[in-house]
This record gives sequence, C-alpha cells and structure tokens, in this order.
Amino acid sequence: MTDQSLAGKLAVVTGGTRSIGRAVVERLLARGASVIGTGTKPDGDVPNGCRYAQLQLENPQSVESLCRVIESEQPHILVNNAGTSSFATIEDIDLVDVERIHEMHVIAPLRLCQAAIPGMKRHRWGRIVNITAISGIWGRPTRVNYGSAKAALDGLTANLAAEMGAHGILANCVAPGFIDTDVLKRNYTEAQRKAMAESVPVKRLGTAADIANMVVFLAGPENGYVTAQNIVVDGGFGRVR
Amino acid sequence: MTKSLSGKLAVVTGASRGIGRAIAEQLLAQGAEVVGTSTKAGGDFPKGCRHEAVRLDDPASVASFCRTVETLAPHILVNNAGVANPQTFEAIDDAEFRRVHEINLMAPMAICRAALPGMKRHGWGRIVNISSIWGPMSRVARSTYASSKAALDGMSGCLAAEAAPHGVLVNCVAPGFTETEMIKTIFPPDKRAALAKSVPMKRLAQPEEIAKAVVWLAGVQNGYVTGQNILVDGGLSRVRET
Repeated sequence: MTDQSLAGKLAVVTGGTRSIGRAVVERLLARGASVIGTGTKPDGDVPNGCRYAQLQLENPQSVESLCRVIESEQPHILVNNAGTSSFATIEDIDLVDVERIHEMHVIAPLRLCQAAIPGMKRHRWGRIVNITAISGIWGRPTRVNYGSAKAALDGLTANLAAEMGAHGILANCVAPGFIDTDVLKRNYTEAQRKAMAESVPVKRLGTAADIANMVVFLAGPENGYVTAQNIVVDGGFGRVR
Repeated sequence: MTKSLSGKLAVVTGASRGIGRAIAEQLLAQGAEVVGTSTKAGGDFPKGCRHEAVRLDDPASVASFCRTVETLAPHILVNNAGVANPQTFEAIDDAEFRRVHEINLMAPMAICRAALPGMKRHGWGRIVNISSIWGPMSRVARSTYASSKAALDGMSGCLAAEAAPHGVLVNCVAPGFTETEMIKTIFPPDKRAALAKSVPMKRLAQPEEIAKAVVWLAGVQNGYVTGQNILVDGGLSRVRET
C-alpha cells in the first residue's frame, strides 16, 4: 500500500530544484500530491512528475507572476523554502543587500501567502510552511541581515496564523540548523563542516531529508493542531551549549 | 509494506485513556510492540497493547517498573501520564505539591534513567515527554502543575544534550486544551466552550492530534529534532486575540 494521504491536494514549493526544497517536493509527490516547484532559471530540474515554474524572489515582477499562477490554481499547501544567505558584520552590511535579503525572505513569501490564502479559505483547508533559520532565534556573528529577515518571516507566520486559525489554515515555520547542502559546501571547507558537525549534540550535520520530513508532517493531514510555531530542527544545537 | 516501527518496542505511561491511549494505538498501527501503564491493573488499553499497573505517586511502584524497563530495553519511551490539580499559590499544600512533582517529574526522570542504557546499546532511542503549555505560558492556579511541567522540559533539554551522541533524541510535546477526561474534571462544559473560543483554531484538540506529533517525534522520520518542546496548541500560546 502506498501512502496517498495527499491525493487531490496541490502544493507549491519555492526552490524545488535542489536540497531541502527538492526533498520536500519528492515527499509530497510520493504521498499523492500534485506539486509545482520553482527555480530561478527559465527551465529547471525538478523531480519527475513535478511541474516547474520560474521564480526570482528578488524580482517583484517574477513574484507577481507566480502569484497569478497561485491565485488561479489555488494550492492547498504552500512551502516558502527558497532563499539565499548573506553574511556580513553589522558594520559592513550594505543596505542594498538588506533590501534584497528582506525582499526574498519576507516580502516575497508574504505576497505568495496572500495569493494562496483565498483558495485555502475556499477549500477550508490549508497548510503554509515557511522555512526560517536558527539564525532568526539565536544570534551569531555576521548573521544580522539574514537572521533579521528570518525572524521577520517567523513573526509574519505567527501573525498570519492568528488570522487563519478559524479557516482551517495552519501556518508554521521550520528552522533548520546546519544542513549539509550545496550552499554549506560552497561557504565552508570540509574541515569547517567537520567542526560544525562536532558542535552539534547529535554529532552530525542535518540532511535535506531531516528537514523535509518535518515540513511534510506540518503540511499534511496528520497535522491537525500545530500552528503559529517555529519548529527547530537542528540536532539540539540551539538549546545546548 | 513493512511498517516503520516493526521490531521496535515502546513504553507509554498512562496508555489506558486520553492522549496516552491514542499514542499507544498509533504506535501499534505503525508496527511497534507497546507496553502501556495505568494506575490500576486491567485498564482499557488498545487491542494488542501489553500493560503494567504502575502508581507513579508511589516510589516503590516506580522503582519496580524501572527494573521492568531496564529488562525490556525499549527503543521508544513516552512519559505521558500526569496529574493536574489547580490550586492558587497561597493555597498550595506542600504534600500535594510534592505528589504532583512525584508523578509529573520524579517518575518520568526515573523511567528515562532506566530506559537510557538500553537505548544506548541499540544506538537508537526516542524519548518524548508530555509537558504542557503551562510552562511557556501561564494562568492562575497553575503554579504546582506548571512548575512540574517546566521542570520536565528543563530535564529533557539536558538529557537531550547527554543522549544525542548515542543516537537518542529527546523532546517534549506541550499539548494545548485537549478533549480528555483531565480537562473535563477541571472545566465544566460552558467553560470548555469558552476555552475553545479562546484558541485561534476555535476548537479543542483531539487526543489523536497530540498523539500524531508525539509519534512523529518518536519515529524513524525524526532524525534531527532533539532538545525541543513542541507546542501542539492550535496557536494558543503564540497568539493574543485581544
């Protein structure tokens, strides 16, 4: 017996071509959902059976064009996963970069939520999962810009959840810790990644699957009563010193 | 299809009713073998659930159950059983305060301690302790209960730190207002309707909804969540509507 618990449901996942977003798309498809996954290029590589849409988060016109798709397709599930990191100390932060990062992590997800909510209200069922970061909860050097955007996304989600509870729409965040993705490999040497893994109580980096499993739990029918939360999936890193 | 918890043994305290019974049912449905406890022998356990009578307010009964747990060496432990007995701060009775902490904190601690060596041997373990929203948030007359549940979360966070290198993940689930016998003993029906209205989702939780989160954390799909207190409360704790 295969799990078809999401049959008849449509999901939109931003950043569906690789790492966490791709793992989310795969799991949603495996449970019978139809999925639209986005990537930054005109054509992108998404898992088999997933529809592709281009989305450049820093470009408001591109965001609006995905909003039109969402308004007409009325997904039951929206996962705001796409994003990029930006590291600089407070003294070195470039305001243009602050605008870009907040455009991508706060304004664009807000617009996509706005586009998705009328349909979810009509379905009387909706699940929104926004990917935040532990940098939005615990401060670390050089994460001012990125951490503030992710904290804003969490605040946005909790307040949206307050308005949506009575409509059967649950909205949550998932805050990943150190995840072994392409981005991590690009930003850190192997020795640095090993040291990061050692600093985590479970003594390993997280995988895209670790995060995707939680996202899919929150996005599915087995979640009936979790809303307005920011669920930390970090191997114990944030809470343990 | 192989069930995801085939070959795993789970211990669930307070499994004859409410949230604990729903947890036992879902673990059984996923293929786990389950040993449930209740205060009295022969409670109403789900079909196929083994059971033991344990009085969590009686240290001798807990100690004897701990020896059973050491022998069973479960892969999964859910400390679900607990008591709530609202009393205003000035009315706190020392003996009752101790009894609530005995049940909600001391017994779970002892049972975790008994289960940990087996989980380390397996190189895999999942502990889920049922905490409460009365920890992260508060309400009048909850000092005894809230103190025991906040302590349970503090204990779980630290245990998570020590157990993590052994493949043992430890978390709490904090239920909001849930339709159980416990809430019925505390609130009359009209009060429960008002409680439901105060929740962003405009209803109480069903025990099965709390159980789903517990069973997720207790299963193989959880690989990287540890040291957390997951609130399953319909948005109550994070949202203020007025």
